[in-house]
Amino acid sequence: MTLRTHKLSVDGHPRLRLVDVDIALSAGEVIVLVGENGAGKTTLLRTLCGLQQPTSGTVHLDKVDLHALPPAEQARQLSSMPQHDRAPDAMSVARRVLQGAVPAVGTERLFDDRQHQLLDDVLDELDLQAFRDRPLRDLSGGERRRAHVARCLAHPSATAYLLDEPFAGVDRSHARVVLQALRRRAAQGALVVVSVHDLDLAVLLADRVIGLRHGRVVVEGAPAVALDTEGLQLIFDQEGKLVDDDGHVGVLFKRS
Amino acid sequence: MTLTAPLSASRRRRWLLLGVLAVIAAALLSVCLSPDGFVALDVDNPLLQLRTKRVAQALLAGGVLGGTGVILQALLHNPLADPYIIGVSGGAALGGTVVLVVVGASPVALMAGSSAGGLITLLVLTAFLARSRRGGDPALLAGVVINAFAAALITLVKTALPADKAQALMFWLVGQIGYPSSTTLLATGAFSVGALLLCVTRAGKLELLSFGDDDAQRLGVNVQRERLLFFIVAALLVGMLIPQVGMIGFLGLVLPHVLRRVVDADHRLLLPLSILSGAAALALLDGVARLLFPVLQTELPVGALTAVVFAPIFAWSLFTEVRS
Repeated sequence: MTLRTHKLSVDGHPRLRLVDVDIALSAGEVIVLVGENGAGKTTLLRTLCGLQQPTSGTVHLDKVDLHALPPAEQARQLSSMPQHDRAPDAMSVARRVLQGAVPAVGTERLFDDRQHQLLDDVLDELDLQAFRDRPLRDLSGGERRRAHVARCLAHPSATAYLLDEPFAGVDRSHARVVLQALRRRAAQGALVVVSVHDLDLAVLLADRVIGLRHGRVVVEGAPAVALDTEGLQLIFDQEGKLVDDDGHVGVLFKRS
Repeated sequence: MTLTAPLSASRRRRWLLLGVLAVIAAALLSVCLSPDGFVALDVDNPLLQLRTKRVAQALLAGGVLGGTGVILQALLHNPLADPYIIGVSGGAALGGTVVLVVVGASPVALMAGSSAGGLITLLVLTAFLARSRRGGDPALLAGVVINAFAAALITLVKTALPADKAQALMFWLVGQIGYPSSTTLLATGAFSVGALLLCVTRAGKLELLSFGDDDAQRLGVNVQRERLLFFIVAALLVGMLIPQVGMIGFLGLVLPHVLRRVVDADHRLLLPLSILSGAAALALLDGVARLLFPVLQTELPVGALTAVVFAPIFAWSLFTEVRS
């Protein structure tokens, strides 16, 4: 499975959101999108899952134009997580997470053993079992974000998972849990595309980093290449470096 | 109260069975309620046979109100939506008024006119909703304005009409659950039941739409198509209903609100249960209105009764919600 964009541009008021983006993403890869606020990460993710129509250019899912596919077919293959979680506070974690499985099990299908298993698996995977029957309002910001991630990953037959800031507000130990869950999906043969602000996590997670600035792809490559001093300069206009000290990796910026 | 475990088939079956039983009980009880008090169920009693039609109409109207309330609340992402609040019934009344004045009081023309009025209102609201990035609130406000506008236009028309026509218009606008002909009952009954069943079989899509258009599309719902379908069905149902029973408020607002909190917020249960309980509630209240005839020496419009009963329930429900 591949997702490929060709000269993809998206106009938005008051600025261009994406300009001539040409990228090819394949199954089994973890792609991490980095860039400043407003660089185009969210727009790219929305376009890649079919939600945002391109102003010009195309997105191809394998051989077919993604935006020509009916929503049900897009959703059957692509599971996506929006940046903002607009679930009602009173909804339980179990109910919210299970909605993610709708493209695979159907909208009218009620809770059954198969979904029970599915729900259990993803809740265990993201260390949310304790919150299963609790309303979302009882969860902290980071816990709620994990439930949001769990919802996206609850889609059992997706060939690609696209997540907008899955680590926002998530503590370091649980970031590891989320990271492993994402890597596991890629190991099972899915494409995983994620936008990330924490560059240390980006380095740990990514097979390939795509750096965006003002709607353009400015760097692309393995983390060690894309996030080197030159890459950081291009993406963030700051002096920094990628450090790998005896297996401890991270990105450091120069004190200004 | 928080709903925890996802909705299972057995839970839905239990509640729907209860709903069906409530409808049957309410219908039987209502048939026995007359201005002379409670009368025994007797198949050969001609008055009772006549009253059966009236009860059937109340059941249909209640079901439609309960169902369209839930549908509009889901599509406008606002629990306050209801045909009488967001202007659909106002638009329908205006459409019917225009037809009444221009064409005359033919039932079919009235139904067509009010359906068209309701549908136009909904299309205007959809346009608002599509341009709004802030959810359903602007659409709701627009609906309130449309309702007021329609009411003003109807008043204008009423003032300009000769007395006899104004009287006919008044009579039609207030409306009441009456004794429809078997043909009308059969036609509207078949359409209402069919349309509501269609909605119930797609309630899972409605459930997803209630969380937002983007979210629903991410989960594979064809948002434009489903929204249009539900809107058209709701407008036709309300348009068909208004010329028959007039304005009956609060039912479509309060019942879903209470059911959401007490039973389940999942539309796959909420929608059918709201339809069933709406039917049961209106049949019962109409029976109570008949019982009150000797006291008031006139027929109490059931719309007044629904408001009197449901407004305090709504207030109480809101109060406890705010407090928790």
